Formats: sequence, C-alpha cells, structure tokens
Amino acid sequence: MKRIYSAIWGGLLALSAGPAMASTAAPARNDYSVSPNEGWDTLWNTVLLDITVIGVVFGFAALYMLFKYKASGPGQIGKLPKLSRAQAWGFALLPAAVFMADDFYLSAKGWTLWNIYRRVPENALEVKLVARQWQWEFDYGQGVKTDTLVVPQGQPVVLRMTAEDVIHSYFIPHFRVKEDVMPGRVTYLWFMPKDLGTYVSVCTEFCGTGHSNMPADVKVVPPGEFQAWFASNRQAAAPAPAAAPAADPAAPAAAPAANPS
Amino acid sequence: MSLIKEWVFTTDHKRVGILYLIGSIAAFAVAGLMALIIRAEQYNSGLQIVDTQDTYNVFLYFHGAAMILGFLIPGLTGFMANFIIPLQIGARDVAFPRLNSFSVWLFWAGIILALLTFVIPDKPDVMWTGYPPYSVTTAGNTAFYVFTVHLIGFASILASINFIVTIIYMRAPGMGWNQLPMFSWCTFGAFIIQLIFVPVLAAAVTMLLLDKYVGTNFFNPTNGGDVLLYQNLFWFYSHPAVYVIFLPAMGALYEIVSTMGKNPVFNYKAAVYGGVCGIVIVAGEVWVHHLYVAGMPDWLRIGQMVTTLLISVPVGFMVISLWGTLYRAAITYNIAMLYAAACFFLVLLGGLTGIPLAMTVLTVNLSETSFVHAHFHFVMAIFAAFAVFGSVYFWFPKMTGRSADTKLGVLAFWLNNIGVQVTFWPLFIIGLQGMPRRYADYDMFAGLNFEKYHHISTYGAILTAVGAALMIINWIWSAAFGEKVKNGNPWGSNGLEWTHAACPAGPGNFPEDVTVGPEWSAYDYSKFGK
Ligand code: HEM
Ligand SMILES: [Cu+2]
Ligand SMILES: [Cu+2]
Repeated sequence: MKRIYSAIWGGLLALSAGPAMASTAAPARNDYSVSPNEGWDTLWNTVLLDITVIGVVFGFAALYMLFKYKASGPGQIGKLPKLSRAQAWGFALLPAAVFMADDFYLSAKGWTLWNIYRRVPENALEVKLVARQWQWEFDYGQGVKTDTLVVPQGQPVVLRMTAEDVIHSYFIPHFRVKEDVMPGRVTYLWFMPKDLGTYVSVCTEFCGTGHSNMPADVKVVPPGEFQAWFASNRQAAAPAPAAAPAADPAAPAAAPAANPS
Repeated sequence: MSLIKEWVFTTDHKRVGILYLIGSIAAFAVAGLMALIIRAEQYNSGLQIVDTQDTYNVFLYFHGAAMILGFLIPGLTGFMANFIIPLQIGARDVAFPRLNSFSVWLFWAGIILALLTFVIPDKPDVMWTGYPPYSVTTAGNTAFYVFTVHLIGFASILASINFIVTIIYMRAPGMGWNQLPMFSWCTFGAFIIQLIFVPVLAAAVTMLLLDKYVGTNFFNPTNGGDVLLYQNLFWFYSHPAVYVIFLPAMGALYEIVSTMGKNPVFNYKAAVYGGVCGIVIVAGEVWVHHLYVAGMPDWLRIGQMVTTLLISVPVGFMVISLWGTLYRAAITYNIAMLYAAACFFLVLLGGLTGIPLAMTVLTVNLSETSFVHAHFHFVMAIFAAFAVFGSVYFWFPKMTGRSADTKLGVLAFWLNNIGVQVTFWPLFIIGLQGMPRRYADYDMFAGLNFEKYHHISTYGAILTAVGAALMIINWIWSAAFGEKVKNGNPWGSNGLEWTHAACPAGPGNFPEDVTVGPEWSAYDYSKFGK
C-alpha cells in the first residue's frame, strides 16, 4: 500500500515538476525579454485554444447525440451496449489519463510564467504603495508621494504594497498584474512598462462605499522626463535645502531603485 | 386552520421538501429582483437607479448571500434531497423526521433574518463573502450576516446527519450500494462534504462576530491577529460548497437523462467511485485558488494550482458518464429534459472557463473581474439552477399529482436559456479587458466602451427575469389547476419512487413495504412499454 502511495506521489511530482524545473532555470534575474504581460497573453492564448478544443469536441458530441438519438416511437428503449469489465476500466482510465496529461501540461506552463511574475528584476524601480479608503498613495522615498504612478519607460517597476484600513487589491489591467493590498502585511507585484502611455489602475477587492471610485493613472514616460518629474517633486516635497538629502541629481531614478526581493 | 397546522408540524419528508422549495424559490425571487436592479444600475456607468453606492452594495450583498445560502443550497440539499431520497431508496421517511422539520424551520428563520436586511438600519453590506477587516469596521450590521449563516448552516449540519444516516440504514432491503440511484449517491457525497466543512464556516463567522462586537482580535493585524485567517477558513468551506451544489445537480441530471433517454447510466461505477468519491476527497485541498492574489506563499499558490487542475479528473469521470448515457439513447423530450439538455452545454462552459481560473498566474489578471463573475454564474446560477428547475418539472407529478403546463414551460425555458447566454457572454469579454466585479461605476474605462456590453447583458437579464417569472407562475398555477396525472409513472422510469408510489405520493410513501432483488436497477428499462 505504502509503495503505491509513494509511486503515485512520486509520479505526480515528477510529471508536474519536471517540465517546470527545466524552464525555471531559464530566465536570469535581469532578463526580462519576456515581460510578464506578454507572457500572460501567450499563455492565455494557449489555454484558450486548449479549452476551446475540449469544448468543441464535447459540445458537438452532446449536440449530435441529443438530436440523433430521439425516440422515434412510443415504447422504444435505449440501446447503450453493456460494457465489459475491460471497457469499463478503459472508459475510466483513458479519459482520466488525457485530462491529467492536460492538467500537468498546463501546470508546467503556468508555473514557468509564475516564476517570471514573482522574480523581481534586480534593476527594478521600487515604489511603495499605501492603500486606504478610498485612494492610493505612491511613495517614491525622499518625500515624494503622489496619487499617480509615474514610471520611466523600459525600467521594471516593483510595488511594495500595504494598506491602512481594510483589504484592497491593486490591479493594472494593461500590465496584467494584480495583488491584494492589506493591513499588517507587505505584498508585491512587478511589471515592465515597455510602451509610453497612460493606463488605468483600479481596486479589485471590495472595500466599501468608494470601491469603484479609486482609479489611479499609471503614466509611462521617457526616462529623462521621469527624472525631471522626480527632481521637481522632490524639491516640492523638501523645499528647505537642509532637509534635502544630497542625492546625485543626475540619477534620481537610481535612488529609489534598491530592490531587496 | 388544520391545514396550516398540518404543514407547520409536519414531519413528512415530502412536505418538508416542499417547504424548502417554497422558501428557496422565495429567496430566488427576491434575490433575482436585486440582480435585476444591479444589472439595470450597471447598464450605464455611475448611479442612475439606486440612490447611493451603499444601497447598491446592500443589494449586491443580498443577491449573493440569498442566492447561495437561501436558494441553491436549500434548493438542492433541502428540497431535492428531502423530496427525492427517501422515495428513491424505498424508505418511508428520513431517519430523524422531527429533526428534519426542525431543520426546515431553522432554514426559514434564516431566510426571514436575511430579508430583514431591507428594513433594519445600518443594513449589512459585506458581500456574501464577508471579508474582514471591512466586515468588522463597516457601519453595516454584520451580525445579520453572521446569524443568517449560523441558522442556515445549522440547518445544513442537521440535514447532513439525517440524510447520511438515512442513506446508510434505510435503503430498501436488498438495495446494495451499487444499486443506489445516482441522485442519492451524489447527494450522499454532498452531505459528507457539508458535515465536514460547514462547522468551519460557522467558526469563521463567529470569530467575525466576536471581533466586531466583543473586541477580540482574530483578524486584526494591529493587535496580533491575521487578516487572511478568515479568507482561508471561509474558502475552506466555500470551495467544497461548490460541490455541495454541483453534486446533487449532476445527480438529478443523471436521473432525468437516463429516464428520458431510456438508457442506463453509462459506466455507473466510474461515476460513483471515481467521480463522487473523488470529488469528496479533493474538495478540501483546493481552497487557495480563491486566494491566488491574496499574498499567500508562492509555493502554496503553485501547489494548489496543480490540485485545482486535477479536479478535472473526478469531474471528468462524471462528465464522460453523463455524455455516455446519451449514446444510442431513445430520448423523449419534456420540459425537464430540455433543462437537462441545456445543462450539458452549461457545465462545459462553466467548467472550461474554470481552467484558466485554476491557473495561478492567469488569475493575476482575471481574478475579481467580470470574467470570474460570468464563470461562476455559468456553474452555479445557471447550471445548478437549471438542474433545480428541471427537477421541479420532473418530480412535479410526484409532488402534486398534476403535470405542469407544457407550452408555458417551454416558452419559459427558452426565455431563460437565451436570456442567461445573452446576460453572461458579454461579461467574459469585458472581464478579459479588465472590468472589475462589484462595480457600479466604471468611468475610468471610458475608452474601452464597456457600456455597450453592459447594455446587452442587462437586456439578457430582463429576458431571464421574464422567463423565471413565467416558470414560477406555471408551477403555482399547475399545482392548483394542472391536469391530473393518471398513472404513478408518467415518464416510464424504473425508480422506486415511480414504480411503487402513487402520484402524488401519500403518507408513508408506499402502499406496501418495498424490497428489491439483486438484479434490480433503477435504470433498467427492459419492462418499459410492455
Ligand atoms: C440569471 C439571473 C442572475 C443575474 C442577472 C445575476 C446578476 C448578478 C450581478 C449583476 C451581480 C453583480 C456583479 C458584480 O458587479 O460583482 C451578481 C453577483 C452575484 N451573483 Fe448573480 N445573477 C443571477 C443569478 C444568480 C444565481 C442563481 C446565483 C446563485 C448562486 C447568483 C450568485 C451570485 C453571487 C454569489 C454574486 C456575487 C455577489 C458578491 O459579489 O458578493 N446569481 N449577480
Ligand atoms: Cu476596493
Ligand atoms: Cu473554489
């Protein structure tokens, strides 16, 4: 009995871990040639294809049989053949094997991308996010706090997030990222702003009256513009020269970029 | 007067079942009205119908809580289990009839408490999930949520004990486990799940009550509590609750499809020992898929992705068996069979859209969007609800001695069936583009033109509402004035409730004690038409 269990567990682990392990080694800490949102779209298309095929096969089978096997007269009974023992096992194990194979295939793909989603690149710009009913506050350090997330194009961004009151969830649909933001814990997410533009971010954990009224803009700007923006905000935050830390003005983006993950 | 007394003090499982049916349809109607208001509100961004955002939230809370706790669970494990199981296994009643009538009145008390939502000050607004800290810090009356869960949960626990004992000990002499009809098997599984997991939910909401009103800190991180503890406990129950809904619904479909197709259940043993038992075993190992973006440890999120995807194996056994039951069948269509036919496609849609939602990394985009909303409505709101509706039509002659009106029933079916597709398909599309759940106001997405989709969805909801109203009118009218059925077995089934009991089934169910032989099967149609 024990042997059967260990065989089953060993098999499960090997099946799911094998392909995933092989690919987890691949992305280096600073390789974001695949940014998470692009990986997401690719995986989504794969999964969509997968479920569409299953859906079409089973859907048409049902449709066909529902029409084809209508009783043609009263008193007629169905002619389902009686299954032999071997057939009964076959009709149980074969589909189970197919479903399991699909499950492990999808698990492996999902695990690979998950590793990309959770492994923050070393050069990521770090911003703290504090959520409260009903607004977001982005804290870049050095006194720079805003209600819009401004990020430089081409540099990964990691948000370290916590909440002051209830649970919120920070969601940027364009970058396919979301993670709950809650009191007493710090959670994180990262994304790769490749294209210039302004995107919307919203709250997706029910947090009361203003839940659907706490959007924030996410602005992806050229690095130079970001530095100017950061510098001017820092001055506004600390007008007294004594209070301003003597950071290198040429590389303001580097200042908040330390990334402990 | 004596009639009222007879019903209030009844211990007859059939009457208890009908009392469950009346209560759950009442909950369905009021919660459905709320759904219509919510949908109308979402027609355009911003508030047009209800006065404040808080009112909207209260309606949303009521809709979700009442649909699940007041309609689906009592409809499937209250009404259907009560009415069908003892008849189907050849028993004269349940094991503990008085406990049974106590359960149904607990359930009614829960429904009444839930309805009080609309009249008390500081109405509860915690959504059906009741997550703290919001549910603790809100001005809303979370206690009403907690006590509703307590009452209905307690009714569920008592019913579980009652039916588990009934199925084990009160089967007709000679009926082996391999002869147990599918609805009884599936619901047996559902009751085992309920017995294990409902106490966890009861504990979770009790801690909520203590946190809010007594000042404990179970969920308060500033005093050493844990915000996520509640979600873990809640979903540790509420994912298995999905099977408490799914299993009886599947069970009823087997009965309808086999009877109307005059075919035995395909690969019965695989469906029972692989499907039902498999689901009972995996039910408790997948709850984290509701917390994929809640900051749980990464390894746990990945581990439960694998277990969640593996649910497809036991569900697959049941699906193959249900599909196989159609093979070379001789189907006669009635209203029940129409609902059953629709369920084939609904279970596919709901089940397959669950696959991306099982994948941790995909939910990083999908969770809490209207994609999820459409997915769970296809599984619960439509698939399971259609199974209940089909079952009401199927067992209608057994309940009332009359048949439901066919024309009205078919019209209502098509309105329902088309309505739900129109309602929920657009929500998949905008969900993929980021439309969040539980939003009345979606101005921030102005560029994406979501309003168009919300318009279509609202029209669909109106169709469904008309269909549902016609359906309920049909039931009430036909129960009183429908055509009387002449024989006890209008569908030509070989189930004991049809071959051995009258229509309507009288007190004590069977004129004579029922015994079955080793060759007996509820799905043996060889005597049909002879
Ligand atoms: C076909 C009729 C129905 C319609 C048109 C409908 C519509 C809706 C709408 C518009 C929402 C709010 C979506 C959002 O913004 O988050 C909702 C939520 C919900 N519905 Fe339904 N619904 C229907 C039937 C049902 C049924 C039968 C159930 C039974 C399980 C159900 C369970 C829920 C749940 C659990 C929620 C979530 C509530 C929450 O967010 O806490 N619905 N429904
Ligand atoms: Cu929120
Ligand atoms: Cu679940």
